[in-house]
Amino acid sequence: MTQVIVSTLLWLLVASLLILRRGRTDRSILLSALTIAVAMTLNIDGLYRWVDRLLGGTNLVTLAADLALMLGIFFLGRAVAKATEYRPRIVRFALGRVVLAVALVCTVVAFAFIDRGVTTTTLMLDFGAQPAAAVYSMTQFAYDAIVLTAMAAVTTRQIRRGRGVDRLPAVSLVIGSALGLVLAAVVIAMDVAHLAGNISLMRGFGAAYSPLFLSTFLFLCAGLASQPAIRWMRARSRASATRRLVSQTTPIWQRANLVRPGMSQQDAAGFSAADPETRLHRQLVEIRDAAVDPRVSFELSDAESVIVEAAEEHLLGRGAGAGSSSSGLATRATP
Amino acid sequence: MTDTVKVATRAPEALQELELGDSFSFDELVSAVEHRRGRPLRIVELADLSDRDGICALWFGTDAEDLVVHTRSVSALHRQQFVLHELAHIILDHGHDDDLDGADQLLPDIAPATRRRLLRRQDLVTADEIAAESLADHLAAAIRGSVMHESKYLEIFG
Repeated sequence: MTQVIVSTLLWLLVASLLILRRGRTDRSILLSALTIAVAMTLNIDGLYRWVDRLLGGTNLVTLAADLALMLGIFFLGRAVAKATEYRPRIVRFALGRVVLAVALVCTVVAFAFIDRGVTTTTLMLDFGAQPAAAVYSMTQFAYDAIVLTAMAAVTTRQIRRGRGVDRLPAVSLVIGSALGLVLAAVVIAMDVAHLAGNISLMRGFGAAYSPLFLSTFLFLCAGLASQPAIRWMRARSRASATRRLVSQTTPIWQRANLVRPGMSQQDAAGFSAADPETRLHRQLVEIRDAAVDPRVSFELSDAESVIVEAAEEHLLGRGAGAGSSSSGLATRATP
Repeated sequence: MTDTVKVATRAPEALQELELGDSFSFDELVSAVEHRRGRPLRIVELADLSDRDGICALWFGTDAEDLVVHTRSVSALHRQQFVLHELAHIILDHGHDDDLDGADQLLPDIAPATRRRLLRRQDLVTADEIAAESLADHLAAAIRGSVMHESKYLEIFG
């Protein structure tokens, strides 16, 4: 049941990323979610048995699913590495291809040495006493722990930088990463206990496995889906504010163009007013051009000044709910 | 190709040549221009510049540096547009054929021998002025984009 819930969560995440991050250039998170979703789906008991029988009934699906999971974790690590300016050599190395390649080779070799019997959906419970199986499991979870540690560090920095509702996705990712680290520790402890023949201790740790597994993915999926969702809602809100400001400044701009025709009136400029922000920007520039030109008579009333200033703050990203301006000109060009 | 089409299509091409991507900060743009020109770029405010026939900004290039002078404005967005317009002239490599007579009145202390090129944002009627203003609009849009992206973190996860 846990596998079904986790798979569903991941496919929902894939769908939300496809919708909310449409047109975005970086695909690391989507690739990660997609690969992990495939891995989790392959682990659903009914599907696992069916596919494994097709592959000869030697539990090769376990290997395929676990390799897909590691690849997904690698994409997640790559996203984490791209998302932070602070990348010491050790972090770059840990999240890089070399560590992935070593982990993949170790996993495949260890898997080859497991005496696996016939199709089973409880491979580690059945064969975990074998050293090769312990190495197989520990290699994967050690690799997962490396990436999740980096993820926790990056998202913790983001919590400190963010404010208000912006912090929630990062908080969710930190909790998910922390739970994932505990999960990795629990699995490694189960492997060691199993290897040592202490089955009661292994079962003791095992009681925490499913709740940890489910909550790890719940928080990670919530964090990964809510960040683009917040961004999408903010973009919609900004677009709505832009349209309102365009309609408010249009009469002022038309009055300015009567005394000082701007570039938007030049055929050769090929100016397109299709994008509301581009149109608002042009209108504001032409209003200001008319206001500062001593050759023409054009003044803004107090009410018009309030509208124009609000529109400028909006475009510069200083309006309500917007981030800080990155124009940089205030510090460079003014005394 | 008509003049209209030429002017309209020059800006996106020039923007691509900067290799800064779809969004960048003002400082990143200045650094890219400095790198491309191989010389420093200075931006200076001159309060009474607009008293002269509505001139908002001008650029003049010497062998040692590029200097952008702009008038004072209460509007940060307008001030940014002045400078972006001059940066657009630099990026589009304008100013080879300009008559420098006007510069003598504006900057009488600068010797003509040290002054290589001079362009000013005043009336946007010539093809070069329209192209520069059009590119300035594109640059402003890219800077707005960087405000929306805010950080690498949001670029990847947002």
